[in-house]
Amino acid sequence: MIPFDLGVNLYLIAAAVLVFVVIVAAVKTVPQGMHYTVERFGRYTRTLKPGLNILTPFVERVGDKLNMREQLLDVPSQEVITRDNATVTANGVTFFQVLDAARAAYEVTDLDNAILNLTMTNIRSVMGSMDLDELLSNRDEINQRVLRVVDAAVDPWGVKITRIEIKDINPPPETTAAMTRQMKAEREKRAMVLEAEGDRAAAVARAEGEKQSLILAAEGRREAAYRDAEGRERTAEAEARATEVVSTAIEEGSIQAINYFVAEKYVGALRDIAAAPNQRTLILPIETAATLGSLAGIAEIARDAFSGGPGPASPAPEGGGPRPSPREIERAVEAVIARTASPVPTITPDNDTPDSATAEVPPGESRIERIRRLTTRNDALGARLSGETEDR
Amino acid sequence: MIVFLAILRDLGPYVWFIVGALFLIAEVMLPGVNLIWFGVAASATGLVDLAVPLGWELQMVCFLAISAISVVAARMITMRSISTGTEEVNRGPSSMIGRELALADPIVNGTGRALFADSTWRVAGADQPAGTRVRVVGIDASTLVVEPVER
Repeated sequence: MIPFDLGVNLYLIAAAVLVFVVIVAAVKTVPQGMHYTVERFGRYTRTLKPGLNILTPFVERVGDKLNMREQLLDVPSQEVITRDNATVTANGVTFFQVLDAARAAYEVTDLDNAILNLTMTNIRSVMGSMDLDELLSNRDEINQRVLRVVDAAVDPWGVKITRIEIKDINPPPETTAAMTRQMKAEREKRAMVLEAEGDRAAAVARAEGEKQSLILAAEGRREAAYRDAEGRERTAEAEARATEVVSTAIEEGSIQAINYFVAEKYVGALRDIAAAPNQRTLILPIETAATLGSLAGIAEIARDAFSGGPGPASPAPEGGGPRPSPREIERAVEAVIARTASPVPTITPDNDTPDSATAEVPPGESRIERIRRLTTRNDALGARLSGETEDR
Repeated sequence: MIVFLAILRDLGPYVWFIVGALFLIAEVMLPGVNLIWFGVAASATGLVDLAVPLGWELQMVCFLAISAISVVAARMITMRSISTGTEEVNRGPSSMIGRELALADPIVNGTGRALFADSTWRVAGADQPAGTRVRVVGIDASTLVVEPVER
């Protein structure tokens, strides 16, 4: 080591150290999102923005370093008494941003604490002016009202409150239980009302349907009755026509034709009785003789019809003899009926009862046609037998 | 210091390069301290000494002078970049100048509130009913100076 001459060099070294320290102290790099306040002899002069800044050495120094970003303050839980004397626990969160570093640094001491207390007291006053039910359903309004008041209050501090949000509102447990019960009851009520309405609608619909079906059934019956009546009319007409035809036939022909019909029916009825599957023994009535008499009468008719010549009693009027009067025909019919009367039930010609005539007739033939056919077939007989009828 | 000066005298300009490198390393490693100026100045002094051999006193003066000059030069360069408007984030409400807002509350006695960014801002201006559209023309801390939009 070679010793130095430190006489002059010592000043140079001291100057070097001084310059070094000054440069380190005067050059300030401010990071993005921060502002530094500068004080000259303790008095605020300017604000350093993000970037490289140089302070006047010894005269100026950095006063406060302020975060200019939006910041979050957690508002702790506090008890609030509502207007209807319910005690609820509420907490929240506040967002704020320093917009003016100088005011935030020098207008207020402990900015965060100041904002926090301001928020808490205002939450208390706003919530205290509301009922519990309002409180729970109007959070947005609470937020807005608190925000307005606090924002106006912090304006002189160069701070903007961007949001105040109530996080939780917790009513006491008993109140919560009661609210749950109330909610449940409300829903049950709605459910019951809905059910009742449904039942009502169903009952109405059902009654409506029944009414409709009854109306339709009645209409059906009415229609059917009309048709029935029409049918009966038609039947009666046909009956009348048939009677007319028969009576005309009788009037124009012989009473023997009637006899023939009656006899035919009679025999048919006997055959039916004999053929009945549930009755093997045929008990003939006392008036068997009369029946047999009628058979004898039929035999007589047949003999007369097929003998080819006129009866012995009176000559048959050829072509057009004197016609029998209606009175005479009536009497003749009565006589036949009296002769053939028996306990055996008389088979009346009826649409519903199948008789021997129907059985012989091909299906599809109407009653009138049948009568006409039978009448026509028997006309020849009637014409020939008219003379004998008069004798009886 | 004496040891440093002795080394300086014995090793010549290369000492300045070593010192400059140490300053730059420290600049990167240590947060919140600005040593880049000294690193730059030491390296520059080494170059000067290499070109024109100086006495150690002059070398020291050269080093301190370059340090001061580099700081001032850097400051001037950054000032120019700020004035050209590279600052894009965290500009605060100054970014709202020229924007049209709707009044949430009427302006009464010169102050009201306007809707912006799902919050409300204090506005100052001529009295207007709520719902009026206004344009921000200036900023006063957290209060926006507005005037009605001409239709």
